[in-house]
Amino acid sequence: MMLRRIEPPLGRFSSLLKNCGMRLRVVNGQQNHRRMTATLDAERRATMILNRLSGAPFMNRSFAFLTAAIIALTASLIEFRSNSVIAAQPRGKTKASMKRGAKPSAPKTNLPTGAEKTKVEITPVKPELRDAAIRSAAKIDSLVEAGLKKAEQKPNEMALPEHFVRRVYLDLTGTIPTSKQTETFLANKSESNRIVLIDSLLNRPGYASQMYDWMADILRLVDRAGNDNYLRPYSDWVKECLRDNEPWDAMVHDMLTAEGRVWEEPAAGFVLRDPGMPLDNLNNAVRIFLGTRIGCAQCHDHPFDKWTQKEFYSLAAFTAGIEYRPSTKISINNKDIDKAASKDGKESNEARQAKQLMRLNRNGVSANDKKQLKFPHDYQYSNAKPEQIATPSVLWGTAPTKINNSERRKVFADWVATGDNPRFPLTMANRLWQKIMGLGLIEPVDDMKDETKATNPELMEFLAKELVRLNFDLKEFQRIIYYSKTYQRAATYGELDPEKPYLFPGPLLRRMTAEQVWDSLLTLTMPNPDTVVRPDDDEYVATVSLTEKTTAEELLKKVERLVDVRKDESKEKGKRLYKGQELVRASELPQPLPEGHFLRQFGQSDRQSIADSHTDGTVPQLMTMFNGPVTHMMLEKGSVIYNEVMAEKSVDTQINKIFILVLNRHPTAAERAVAQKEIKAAGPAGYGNVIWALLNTREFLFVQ
Amino acid sequence: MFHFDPSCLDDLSRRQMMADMAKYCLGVTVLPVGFAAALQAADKKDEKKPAAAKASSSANGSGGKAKHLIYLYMQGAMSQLDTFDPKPKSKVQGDTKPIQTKISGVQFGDKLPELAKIADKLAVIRSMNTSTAAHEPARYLMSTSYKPIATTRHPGLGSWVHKSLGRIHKELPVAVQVGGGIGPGYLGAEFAPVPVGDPSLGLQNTKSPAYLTDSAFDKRMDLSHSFDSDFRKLAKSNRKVNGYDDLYKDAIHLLRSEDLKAFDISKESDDAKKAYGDNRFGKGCLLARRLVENGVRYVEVSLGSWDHHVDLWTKMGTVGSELDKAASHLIADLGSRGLLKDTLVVIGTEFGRRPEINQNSGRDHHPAAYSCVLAGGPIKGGQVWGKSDADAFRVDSDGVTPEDFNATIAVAMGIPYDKEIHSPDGRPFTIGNKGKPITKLV
Repeated sequence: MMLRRIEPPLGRFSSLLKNCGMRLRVVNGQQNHRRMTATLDAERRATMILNRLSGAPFMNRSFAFLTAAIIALTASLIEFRSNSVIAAQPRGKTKASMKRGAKPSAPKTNLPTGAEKTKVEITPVKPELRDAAIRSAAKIDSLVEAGLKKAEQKPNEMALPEHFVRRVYLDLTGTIPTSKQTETFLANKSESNRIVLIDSLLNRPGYASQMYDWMADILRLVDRAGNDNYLRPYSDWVKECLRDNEPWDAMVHDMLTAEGRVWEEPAAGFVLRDPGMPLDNLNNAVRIFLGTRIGCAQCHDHPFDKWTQKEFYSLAAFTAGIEYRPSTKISINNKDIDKAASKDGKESNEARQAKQLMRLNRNGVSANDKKQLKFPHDYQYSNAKPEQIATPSVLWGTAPTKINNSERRKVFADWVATGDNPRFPLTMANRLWQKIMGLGLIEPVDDMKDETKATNPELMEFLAKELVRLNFDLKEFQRIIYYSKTYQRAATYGELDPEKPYLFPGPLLRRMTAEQVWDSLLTLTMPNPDTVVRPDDDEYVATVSLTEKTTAEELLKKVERLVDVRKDESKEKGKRLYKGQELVRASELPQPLPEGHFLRQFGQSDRQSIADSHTDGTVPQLMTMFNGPVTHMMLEKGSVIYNEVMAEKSVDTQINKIFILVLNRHPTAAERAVAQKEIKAAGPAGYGNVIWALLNTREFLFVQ
Repeated sequence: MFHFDPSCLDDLSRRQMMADMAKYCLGVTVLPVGFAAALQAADKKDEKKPAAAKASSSANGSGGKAKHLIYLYMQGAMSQLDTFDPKPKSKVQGDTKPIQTKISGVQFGDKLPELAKIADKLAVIRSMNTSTAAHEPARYLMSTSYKPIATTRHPGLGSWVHKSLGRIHKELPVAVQVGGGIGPGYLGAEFAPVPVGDPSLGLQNTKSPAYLTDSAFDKRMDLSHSFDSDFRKLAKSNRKVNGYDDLYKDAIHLLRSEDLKAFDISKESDDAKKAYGDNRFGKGCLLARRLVENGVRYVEVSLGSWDHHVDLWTKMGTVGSELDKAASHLIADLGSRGLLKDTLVVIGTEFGRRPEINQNSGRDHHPAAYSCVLAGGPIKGGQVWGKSDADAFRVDSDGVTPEDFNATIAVAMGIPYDKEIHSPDGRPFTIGNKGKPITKLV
């Protein structure tokens, strides 16, 4: 589906490959804002070889293509063989060796191996800011320790290296570390090893992946909000912002002001997520970005907070101009379609689909400067009259008062997304603290009131100020929390005392999130899952998007084209399937997932309510763990854990490897003995039993 | 000041606590004491009690109420004119011929001959009307009694029934949805209906690999315990960690439960399968009967799609006959097993279809008038409630909204329809959202 972007020689080369049953994926960084680059080096090498070959006088162009293709393919397959885990297995055979006359037997695995690989680019942390981050982390520690001291409590010990490595990988990249990553860290005794690891993890694609999972839960990201309301470009934009480490204030400003169709201005998805519900959308914006609930005041003065219905309407007046259609219209209408595609007065299938594409194109955000908000007809308070026009006014602080209607959204966004609005940095700083430590300094994170006090007010204030100082750079901000001893201490295991505020002697013991469980199982199954990303929707968007000039005939061609686009999509999806499950990271799956999906069983949200994911246990969840396809995938031949364990020479080192892989620690002497006994008694099945048993420990499911 | 940090609790306790707090702050009682106690019993202790001891917890002191609910959901909006509200004298009747039912003077569409024969057991509501003609919001309203809003998620009927009446069987799920439905909303995962995709395959993930015998499984669990012992010592007072022990027990009990076969319709005779119809919906209804028989409280079975914008009468042939065969046999089967008096059977849909026939021999969406059916339990069958106008376009008398409909269902199930429960953010909700039950039907 990316072929249209490939430059001419490469395009021809790729059609050549296509004929051989292969596909290329090239994502041009400049053309595509998603900014990924291809890893399938074959095609780059082929271009180079091609250029060289076609310069030779004895070559004609098409012969050059063929030769280049063969050379490049062979080279890349040889490389694959020497790099892959399968290379460690004597029974692994590749196509390259077939060419050399070996017996034709591909590596036997039921796991999908043909998915396209993509290298995800991610904006790295700035090395020069390390010292400043260390200083800020020390400040966090001194504020936490002061708080503990006042309450005559002591901080926890520092976390054991094996606990730390597992936790920090899960928190920063969304998955448990591989055996190599674990062993490398455990072997590194240098004093700065934790800080060095944190920086390297902040620079990994997994950082954006797990941040996306977290934010998707808060923003309720979905591929579609209704049949005709396509929103995937908005989710992709969020993911892209996280990869690029876009400042949070800029992201929010975009969401609150964007106009257009979602594929033209993806941030418009924030408003389109609640189509036709501007007041609910405003309520959600204030709750998500400012940690404040004004929803009750939509219908009556707030019963638990100070907000009046008048204040709600005055704030809503800023967004009163929103229309849920784009300002650029399409010129064709249903009649044109019927004329072109329907016969005997009966609507054809094509016509029906064409009309759906038109409906897709009628979704968008525009501003109507004439539209104003009126108080409800049954307004019951004396401070305004029913149906009186509401004048824009902010909840606290100040905003320009005499404004044109055309400036309303911008003035509102300026008021929300700035360090000058105290609750804006406070809310995000507290949400991130909650994410990292397991509990907010203020709870709940989105119901702040004037009298709300953080459990450690000085720390809360410092964190909010840091976020402003760092210009809302979410990555740098998190870096300082991860650098802190407070984060790096042992987890608190027990129940908290409901009578006393938790003062953070360490992070809380937590159950893995649904996404962490899924991504960790994936890490045990396939090498480098980060390289399999969700195929972009550029081809789909190019096909469904209409302009003012699109004619009915062109539209019907698009309908036809869409069939092929969908076919390509499902073919590509087929390459990622194992027993009906797409084996890609949680962030690369459709949003939301159907209710029976593993991720939903483990608590991923259906994306209907803000931050609605949970980490509760349920019976169906355990049945999935016992008998679902997902837990069995890692016992397949060719899985990471299978290959790594089989590559070990003695039962002793095999047991060691299993523990390192699943729990990221070495077995104790007692555990080693139990495992040895099991393997001795049950033979080869014993390995499966030990792995299964470890996956079903609470130690696996909980993060220390 | 109230020094209790809710965030230190797990999600479920937090939900409960927020509800308590809302109670405290608002100075209102969420539930009458007896009812709240019954709920707690249902939530906590009942799970451990044997089935027989619990049957009584459903009664709530009022006799003659249904213990089970089978909700047959007609997905995509069922045409009233072509099923339960034909208008023989109207120009818009189309190809569906009215047939006489067992209720004198009452006719159904000709695709429902079997239901017509047992109409004396049915209460037909011909005056349903709803406020939206978009499928998703309308289905949501039908199942939750609330319009979808962006700020909370309401529980569907299955979760309401679960929350209000609790479990009957100690191992089987309380609520099951065959072919999807609305989730537990703010009630949370504990009250989520268990999904069944394909009724022939039964409950998801209950089939262990052949090599994994019970004793091999037990050995794995033993291994797991010994590997977990160090961690468990560290986390010995963590409720969430310990909570998994019960879940493991429950899951293993369920997997080994004799009654898991309730999910296996292959145990039914060929005659029984044939009687319900050899299609997904027929199998779903057969599964529903098995589940109810074994103590499942709520089963929802979806049939669709009824979204007949095009060639309605061709498609009615299939979908109408599937409904007719399965629903009529379900009611008869429940009756002959003595289960009908305890089982409320509902035929519901999100809205009706526009009487005017469109250019594609179909009917478009129409929220102003449609039909639903109640049977079983305390329902007084053999009657029609409400009336639509000459073309089944508008309601003439005794209009019934989805909220009223759900309040009626609540009464039939012995659930107090006006009792409030609170979402975690403290907002009050009732099962019928201020709807008024149709007392003459119950």
